[in-house]
Amino acid sequence: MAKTMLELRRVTREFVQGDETVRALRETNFSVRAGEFVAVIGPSGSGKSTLLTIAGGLQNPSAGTVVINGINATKLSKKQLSNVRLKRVGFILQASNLVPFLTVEKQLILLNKVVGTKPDKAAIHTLLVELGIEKLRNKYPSELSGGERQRVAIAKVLYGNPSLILADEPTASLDTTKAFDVVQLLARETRERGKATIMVTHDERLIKYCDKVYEMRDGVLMLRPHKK
Amino acid sequence: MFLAVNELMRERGRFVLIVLVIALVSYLTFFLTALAYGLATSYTQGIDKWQASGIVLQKDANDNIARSLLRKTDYDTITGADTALLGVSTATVERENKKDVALFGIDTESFLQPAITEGRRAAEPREVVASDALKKIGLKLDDTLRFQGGETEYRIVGFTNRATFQTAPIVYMNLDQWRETASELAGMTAMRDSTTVSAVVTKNSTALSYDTATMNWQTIRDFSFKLPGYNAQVLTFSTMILFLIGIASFVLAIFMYILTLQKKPVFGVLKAEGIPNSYVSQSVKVQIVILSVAGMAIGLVLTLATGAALADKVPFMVQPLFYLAIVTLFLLGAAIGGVASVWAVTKIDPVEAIG
Repeated sequence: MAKTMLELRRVTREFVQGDETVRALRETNFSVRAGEFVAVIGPSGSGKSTLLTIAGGLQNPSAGTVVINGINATKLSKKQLSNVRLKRVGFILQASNLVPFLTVEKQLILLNKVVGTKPDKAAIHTLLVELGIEKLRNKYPSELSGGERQRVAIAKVLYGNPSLILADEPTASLDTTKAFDVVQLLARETRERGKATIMVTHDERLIKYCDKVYEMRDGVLMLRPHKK
Repeated sequence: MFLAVNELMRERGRFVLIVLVIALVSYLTFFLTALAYGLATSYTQGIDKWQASGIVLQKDANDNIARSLLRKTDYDTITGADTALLGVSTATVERENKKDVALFGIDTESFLQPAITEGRRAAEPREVVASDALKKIGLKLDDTLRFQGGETEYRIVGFTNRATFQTAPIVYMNLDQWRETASELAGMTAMRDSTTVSAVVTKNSTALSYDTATMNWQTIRDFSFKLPGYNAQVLTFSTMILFLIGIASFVLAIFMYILTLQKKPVFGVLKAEGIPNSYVSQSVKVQIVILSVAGMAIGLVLTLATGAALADKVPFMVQPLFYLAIVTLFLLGAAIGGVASVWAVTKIDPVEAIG
């Protein structure tokens, strides 16, 4: 059995808005293993993003335990949590999370600069070739198409070699062909590299690439019968 | 460093503009400081070069050396090896233009004798040493000159540099000759007797025994600030420059802060990805240092170039210590902007970048 990369145990998230308590996430038990590509679907405001930010160690749950790659994230300080995100978690966001003033290649090298290691030029080259963006290595994000940008975002995440990849509506700004393209790529890399990937989306057509599909409704997460 | 430098390279146009603004503001500050210092110096450099400890004036003169008259009976008790007698009056020289000058009557063997930069010391009564500032109105070595309102002719046998008093170039002559000249010129009070001087300058002594009812000793510095207009001018300029530095550093700080706020979404994503606050903050700091140092360097070069071009026309003088203070204050202002920016970076909520 593949290693569990993310585990949420009896996790809840509530916050107070005015004099009303909003239960963004009701008691949730959820886990993802290495090599698993999981989709979370649901209408906007259902708590998908809350789930994602808790899973990624961006915010702590009101109660319950979050274990990222064997580390209990709920017991960590802000600084330690930031370090877990840096080393263990990769984010792929809606509008790509690229730094506007860095070239494609430097988006990857930034990670080396932050942790103080030497850039692995060979690994960067291999990754860019694999994702079909080698020709773009000296281009800036503003010179790329939406699909190319998401490929770069994927390359950036894979270069960091995280255990867990969190994708928040990664295809929101893409047309159908490009969206399928990107998700297919994400699914392939997840399996080949043994990552645990959670993709939040509201696009039902994309779930055919996923191993499991969860549905989020009013803060409740339910596994949906799904056949690939 | 990596983020800072790459952004500078990518957003060259924007950063060039910012550097330009910093350069112009520091240019203004540096230049004004040089002018103010040059002007202040031209008030006092003729007496500063004595490197004296103090000066004794007639008490009734109310610190105005032009009205001070002392006789041997007054100063007899205080004259010695480290004191020197001085006569001061004013005159007008006419050559290509009219020029007001300060006449200094000195004992050529005393420490009041200026270092000669061209020619020699005055040896005969009708020989004078002039400030080289007088070359600007066409005076040369071995020229004869006459003061307006007088008949006597004098020969310039030497020049000395940095010799101005209350912005007027100084003409040095023998003390006996000075008494004669000052009496001859229109508007001058006749000398009381052949021992009359304007003041006694002291080299080292601070404790003198003299008749405090008729005379008053003060330091050269105190004396400088009592020169007509000097204090007001120094005060005006220093206030102006201080305000300029204050406002300029504030502008610099705001610039830096806005620059950081503009990048808030980018920093938010970086923080979500786990890149520590310290790394992002350091990048902001590096940029601030690069921008302000580059801007000030350009401002300094512009100042020096302008100073070289206008050296003959304006009293331009660079005082490195003042510049060091200005640079420090500017960097301080930029640092305040930097601290505010770093604080803003720390406050960015990475959840917002994701949500």
